[in-house]
Amino acid sequence: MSTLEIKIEPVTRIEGHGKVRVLVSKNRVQDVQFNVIEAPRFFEKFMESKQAEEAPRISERICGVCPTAHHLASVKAVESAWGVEPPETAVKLRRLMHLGGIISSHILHVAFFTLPDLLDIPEKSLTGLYAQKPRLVEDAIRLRETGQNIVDTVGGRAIHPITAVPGGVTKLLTSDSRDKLLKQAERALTTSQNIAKLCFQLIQDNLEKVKAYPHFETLYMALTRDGFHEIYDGKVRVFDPTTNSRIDFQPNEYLDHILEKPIAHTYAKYPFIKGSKEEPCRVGPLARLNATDDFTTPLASEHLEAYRKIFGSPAHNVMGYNLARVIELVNAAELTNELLREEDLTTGKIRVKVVAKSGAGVGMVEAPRGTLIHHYETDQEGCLKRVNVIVPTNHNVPSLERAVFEMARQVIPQMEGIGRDRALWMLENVVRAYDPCLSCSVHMVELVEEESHGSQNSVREEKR
Amino acid sequence: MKKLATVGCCCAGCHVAILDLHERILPLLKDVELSHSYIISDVKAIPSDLDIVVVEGGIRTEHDAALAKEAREKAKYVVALGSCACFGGLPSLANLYDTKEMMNYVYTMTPGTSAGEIPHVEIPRVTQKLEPISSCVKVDYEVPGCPPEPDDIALIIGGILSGERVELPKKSVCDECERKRLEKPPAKVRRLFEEPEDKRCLLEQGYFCMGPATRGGCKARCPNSAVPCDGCRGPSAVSWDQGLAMLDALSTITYENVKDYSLATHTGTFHRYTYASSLLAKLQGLVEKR
Amino acid sequence: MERQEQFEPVIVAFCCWWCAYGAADLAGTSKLEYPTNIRIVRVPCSGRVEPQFILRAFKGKADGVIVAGCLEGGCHYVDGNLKAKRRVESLKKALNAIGLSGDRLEFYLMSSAMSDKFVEAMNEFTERIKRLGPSPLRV
Repeated sequence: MSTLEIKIEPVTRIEGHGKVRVLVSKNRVQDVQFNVIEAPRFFEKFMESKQAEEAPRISERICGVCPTAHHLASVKAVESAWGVEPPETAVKLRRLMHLGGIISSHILHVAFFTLPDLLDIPEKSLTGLYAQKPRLVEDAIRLRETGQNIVDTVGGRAIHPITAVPGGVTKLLTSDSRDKLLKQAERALTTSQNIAKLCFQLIQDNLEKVKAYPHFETLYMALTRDGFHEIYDGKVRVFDPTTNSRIDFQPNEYLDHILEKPIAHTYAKYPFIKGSKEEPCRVGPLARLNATDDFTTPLASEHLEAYRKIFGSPAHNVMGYNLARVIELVNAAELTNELLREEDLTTGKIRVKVVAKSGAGVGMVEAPRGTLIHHYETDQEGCLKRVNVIVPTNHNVPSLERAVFEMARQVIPQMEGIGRDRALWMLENVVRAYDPCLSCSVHMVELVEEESHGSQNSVREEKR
Repeated sequence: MKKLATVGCCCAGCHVAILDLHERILPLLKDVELSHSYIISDVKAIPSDLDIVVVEGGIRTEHDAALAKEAREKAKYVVALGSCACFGGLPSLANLYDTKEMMNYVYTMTPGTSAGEIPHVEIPRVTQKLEPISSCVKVDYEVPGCPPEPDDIALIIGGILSGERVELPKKSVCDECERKRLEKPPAKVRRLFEEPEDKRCLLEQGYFCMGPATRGGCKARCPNSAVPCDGCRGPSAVSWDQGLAMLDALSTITYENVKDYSLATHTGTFHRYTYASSLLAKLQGLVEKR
Repeated sequence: MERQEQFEPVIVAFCCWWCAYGAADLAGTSKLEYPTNIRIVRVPCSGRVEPQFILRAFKGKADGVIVAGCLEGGCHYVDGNLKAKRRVESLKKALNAIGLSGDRLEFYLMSSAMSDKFVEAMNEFTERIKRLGPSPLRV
């Protein structure tokens, strides 16, 4: 029996290197594998023995598209391990840099990765998009620049920010900077509204095609604050649409609910929610809009209503990710405008005293692509003893594979009719909707915490 | 029209740094054809007659090595973009450990994990050590930094396109730092979470600031944000080994503060971005060979 | 074990011109013997010896390296010898960390009149290296 293997390599317009393999035999799609070929870099191993306060600057190098999320989850994990509460102004400044990161990451995806597909332009590249829609590209670039400027100003550097340290942040916003950013933020809100309008329009115009995309149910996970959409700090909620039940837990209880499994055909490990069956859980924009009740900002809340009319509540269709993402973009712009107006950003207290010690702690944030977990243990010098990072993309990969499988079942039999390239493009659309961050998904190494740990360590340590 | 491609990936921060040219990318795309760039274009294969290939990331798997070699064959100029491509970068700290042991250890013995297997199907093999691109192919230009400065990227690519000879800045980070030196050695070591005095040199205050041994051109962003430099732009034009030069300098002015040198901890300080290409790692490699 | 007895280490000794080299010279003119394993490299001050000289000596298959300078307070350049002492101490730790014994590197202090101290140091270090065996970088 011959098996035909259809390969998409590499999947383009995503972050990181991955390929899709569709195995067809007897004219039926038998299996789909999403191979993350991005190299594992063993962060969790080499971060051991490093001073824990350096973790925010080291672990953020897991990803250059969402470094701010790692930077913040990391500093929260260290503070949790050392029992440190940063002052309110510092938290606000961290939120602000987080918003900058979300704006820049989301518009990168919406404009540069997704819109070429939604618009269905002939050449689906940045050059092609610019040829068709120059104003749109210029606006998107400016919006992305605003996001990067926020991180640069508040975080110290646009890519791989530096100002979050255990105890707070290292600098205040100056009034001058605040005024500059506010001007940009106001413009950002207008642009994100325009782009939201465009995306809603494109989805509506192609509703039949959109509804044909995979729409199976899964669990959904997100941070939440009093039931609202929350990006920096809150409880973790897992929502089960089949039973309409919600479990809320604290970040430091995550091991009671989430376990990880290594898989033969990929360097990314698959997390599952513990339960009677090993259930995959989705995270990210689609999940956040399902697991939480509403946004705290008006325009995003309006869009949410319109979105629910299209995709239902809860929404399961993978293309919902794209629309959810643009609504979050509007929300981030609204929150940025609100936050920049707070008085104490330029004058408040931004650091508290910190003592390094042994401990264990968890830091969680909602990264652009979903719930991000950093979990550290430190020794009495305050050096890292054990590091565990679970990135959002890993949660999504099992359902991503299933979604591509279902889509392949639909389109591969029709390949002759619709054309090979077109069919494979539809499969890529499914992958792209998830906005996978493949560099994040292979940071990796899960560490053993056993007596045997010491003997396994092959670093030549100087004997004292 | 000249043809430009970008390949490779590590954390994608270098690709993002190219996008951080913001509007400047538009005229660039008019001057050159972007023949292949997986992040913003759908072209799957790497075309053959390229003028410039920009490579991000170090060599961590056989796929990375194959990609670097393919890029070298197909392009006139190879640009190593970012500290990973130039020196191995931050992930080369994994070279302190044995890769096979790490893979075995990690994928087969984890608590809170159900039984799994070591990834091996349809994915490229991990190499023993992470190396810079130059370990594999000849590199024409290096643009260091983690992330590299968009200005440097524009400078180097612009230089190749116009045929002008361009050079990266030769100064160290200290030259761009606004803090003032009082010429007094540090009394004690301070860690990152301790709040520094405003406006005074961080090294003098006892932080392990890598400024003196690090290439400038970054506007000394970190010390100017009250955070010590961690050496992300690699060695300055005159440092023979960024980390050892710094360790040496520190031991001669404040030995008390470095006498507890520990490889596992202090590579994170002195060789954070350059471990793979450091003299120390080369010696370690030679010792391990026997 | 016959192999071990025949092992003749290669030892590089960076000697400062003002003191250590003077002591070596005096040892020579006084017809005092010291092992032929020692290859002397004359430098203006022990503080001139950069770590990379030492590391390259090891890379070049030296089995041991000595840095020799003036007595404390006696350095012609005020404190070059103190810097060299610190430098050697740090480097010993780095060498231990990568699996090359830090005992293969040593720092000695002497004045230019102390030819007997020079000879004693050279003898003692050569014996030490013979006991340690050839450098792991040799094979």
